[in-house]
Amino acid sequence: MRGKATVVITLILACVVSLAAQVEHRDLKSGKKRIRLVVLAPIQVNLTKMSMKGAESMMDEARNMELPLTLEIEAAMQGLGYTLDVETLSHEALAKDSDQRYAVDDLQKKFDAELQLMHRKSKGVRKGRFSLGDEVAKLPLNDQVDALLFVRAHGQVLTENKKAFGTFVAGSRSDFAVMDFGLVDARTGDVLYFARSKMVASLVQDSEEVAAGIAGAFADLPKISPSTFGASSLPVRQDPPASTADASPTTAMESGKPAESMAPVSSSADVPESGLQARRLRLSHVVLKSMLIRQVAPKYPGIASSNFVHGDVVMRVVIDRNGEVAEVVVVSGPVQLIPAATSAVKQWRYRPFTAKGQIFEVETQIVITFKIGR
Amino acid sequence: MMLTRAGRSCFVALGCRLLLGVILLGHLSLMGQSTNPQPAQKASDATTEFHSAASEPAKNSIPQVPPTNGSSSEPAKKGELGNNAQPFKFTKVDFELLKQADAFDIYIEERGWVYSDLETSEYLEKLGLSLVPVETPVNVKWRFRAIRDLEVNAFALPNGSIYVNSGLLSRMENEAQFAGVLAHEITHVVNRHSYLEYRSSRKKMVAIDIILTAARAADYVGVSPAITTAMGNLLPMIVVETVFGYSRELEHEADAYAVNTLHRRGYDLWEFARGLKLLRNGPEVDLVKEPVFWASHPKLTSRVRYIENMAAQLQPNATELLFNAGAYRAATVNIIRHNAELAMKLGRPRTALAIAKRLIAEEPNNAVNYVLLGDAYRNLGGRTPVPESEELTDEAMNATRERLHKMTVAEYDKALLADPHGAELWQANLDRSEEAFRKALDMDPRNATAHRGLGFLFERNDARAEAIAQFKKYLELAPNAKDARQIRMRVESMEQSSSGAKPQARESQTEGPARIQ
Repeated sequence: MRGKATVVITLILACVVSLAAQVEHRDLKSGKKRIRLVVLAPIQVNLTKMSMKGAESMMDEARNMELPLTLEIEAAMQGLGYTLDVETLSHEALAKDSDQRYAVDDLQKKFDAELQLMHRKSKGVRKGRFSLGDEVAKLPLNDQVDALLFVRAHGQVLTENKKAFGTFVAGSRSDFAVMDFGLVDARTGDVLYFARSKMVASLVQDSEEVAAGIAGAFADLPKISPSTFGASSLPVRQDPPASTADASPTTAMESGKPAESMAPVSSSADVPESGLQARRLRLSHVVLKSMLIRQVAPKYPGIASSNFVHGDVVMRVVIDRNGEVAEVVVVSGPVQLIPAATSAVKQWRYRPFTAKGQIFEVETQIVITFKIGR
Repeated sequence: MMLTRAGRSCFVALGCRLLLGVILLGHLSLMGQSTNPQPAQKASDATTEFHSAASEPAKNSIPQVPPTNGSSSEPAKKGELGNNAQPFKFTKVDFELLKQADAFDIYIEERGWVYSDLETSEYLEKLGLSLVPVETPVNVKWRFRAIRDLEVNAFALPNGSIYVNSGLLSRMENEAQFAGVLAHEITHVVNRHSYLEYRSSRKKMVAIDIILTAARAADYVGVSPAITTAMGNLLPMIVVETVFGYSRELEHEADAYAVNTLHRRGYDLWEFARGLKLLRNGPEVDLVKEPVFWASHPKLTSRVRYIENMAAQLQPNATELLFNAGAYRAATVNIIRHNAELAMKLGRPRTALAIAKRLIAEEPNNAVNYVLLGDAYRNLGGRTPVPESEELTDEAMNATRERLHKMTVAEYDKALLADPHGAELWQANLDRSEEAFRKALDMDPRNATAHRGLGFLFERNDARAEAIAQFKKYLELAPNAKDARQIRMRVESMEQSSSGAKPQARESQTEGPARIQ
């Protein structure tokens, strides 16, 4: 069985770059169930380098891939008219609440368990066979959230020698990547949509193939026409699903942007591109940390420390295309600590963020914690 | 996983004969150049190779080095020297490993695998640090942490991070037993075992294969233990030393150190031996026949024998020895309870039941333990509290494996109930469950979770009005519970559907039997 399947793939790889398979829940197909706001569970990337010496993990590279992949996914979903919230369940957002971290992790595990069978019997998704259970309702999400998105990406990267060996002797002879996507009902836990993309490409380098693979994975998802929700899908973000109180600064910053270029175009192929161009990307700072070139530690104001003022300063930060911190808006924090935090953050430098060969402006949230006694 | 499988089959399809010939004729010489031609693909033969590699040194109890294996002979010699007779020199390869280990620490933390309860963490840290050698080795920062994972295991990373699974903590009974495991793992770090194994590419390959096999085998059980899977994906390259490690000579070294340390600290060595034995028999039907992580392996028996011998030598009159059962119990009760809840979520209710019973035996007047017992019985569904003998035959286990391969956990639970025997068992479990919840409420009438448990029970039995009443009581007593929204939604859906025609149809479809948190 497997032997056969692989041979087929090997033959196809000469002509087709990516393969995708999608199954959708019948309620989703019939329109009985509608999805608009989707929250992304942290995507799990795993990369293996195959050299003549054997397999080696590329853990750092895998972590660095989380960001660009998240962006591509966001763009693809945005192109179809969905809103993808990548922050509420990010590692960073959950860093302080262990119970919520466990809850997300348990769901990830459950998804992995279901995924095994979903691979083999993907048609079961149509009948609603797969479910994570109504424990999904324990997540810190509000009622507007329709679905959760789970993503698994596996990439195998071959060294040149290994490729040559594969070509002339035995084994695989090119990089490949597999991505799994599962959309899960945020209330019942039912798997509403499952897609798997296989790409004969490097997850790390061939960003175009990967983007095509991602777009292909969502191809069967019903499109949401822009008219239903207004010209831009951004307003949905005005009430972020979590109870975090950062709604107002976000809207204030985003409303300053030209609205006309934000309307999603209905032809699916170039949507991600045009959607991306116009947007300022909102990313979790966890993913941005790897892009930090210069990080200046804030000075604890003498007066604050002697008065035992401590706590978190939460800031919304815009990083421009040069990687410089262009805007800092304080969301919350003790007044005495705000100047120190903002002046430090303003000196930070990032590598300009690129995806699909373009440089983007990025918006993120930075939390600086002031502790006494160290 | 799928990739390696695909890779393997690709290999099988393309170059099987050719390579088998090469392997049969000159496996060792190929290895000797440390250019292993087909790492991922040669899983099947490498596993058998491991068996022979592991059993040989056992006979002679001297580490055997393949004669032609240039790259691995040198580290293996160092391994022989044991307790750092020669100072360990860091090479580029070692730093690479160290970096990966640090990255893995973050990975594990971020994903919510680490159980960060303050009491548990402090206890682990304190106990761990009391067992480490006075001099901290270079590039080691001791860290002792608990992981939320049902697998009965513990492992050490070369950077000094030692992880203990909640599954293992739930099996251990006292500090002496647990200290033995910790001291064992500490040795792996002190004596740089990971580095030695990592430098030897042959051993590295064996490690990869073992861990991959373990992860693959775990697929069958329906629920993949996340850690094992992650090891399969990430850790082969980090080379962890698990409590059921794979290199016999190094395991022996670790046990020897553990015995000495424990003896010096005054711990009961007999308890250490007994603790290892406890790892062997779990309350679940063990569907994974694995030579390494799983305790059926003869290695564990010989290790127990060794420790018992040492105990007989060092502590012939076993009186006034330390085992600190009380301290252990107090510090680990939270994580053990957490582990039981995890077990219920992941379809292993027998584990949860065993834990609940144990907690009740230790602390009979705590209502919380009875709630756990009630939840465990409810989750048993159509199972017996402990495996029946007919479940343990090879045939039955194969059949179960087959079923689990085709079904989701929820579907499997449902199938059990559909069976007449299962339905009978469910009735009994239901009664015991209700009894446990009532008992908890007798002890503590304001116990919210007992009401929630009863609510789930009634819901399952279609006693909707009662279910709603219990759930409402729960919400009233614990309005800020983490699952308040979930329960509220259940109440709403019951209230809605009680006016509709088909009761419960949707509930049972998505939920299957006995799904709780």
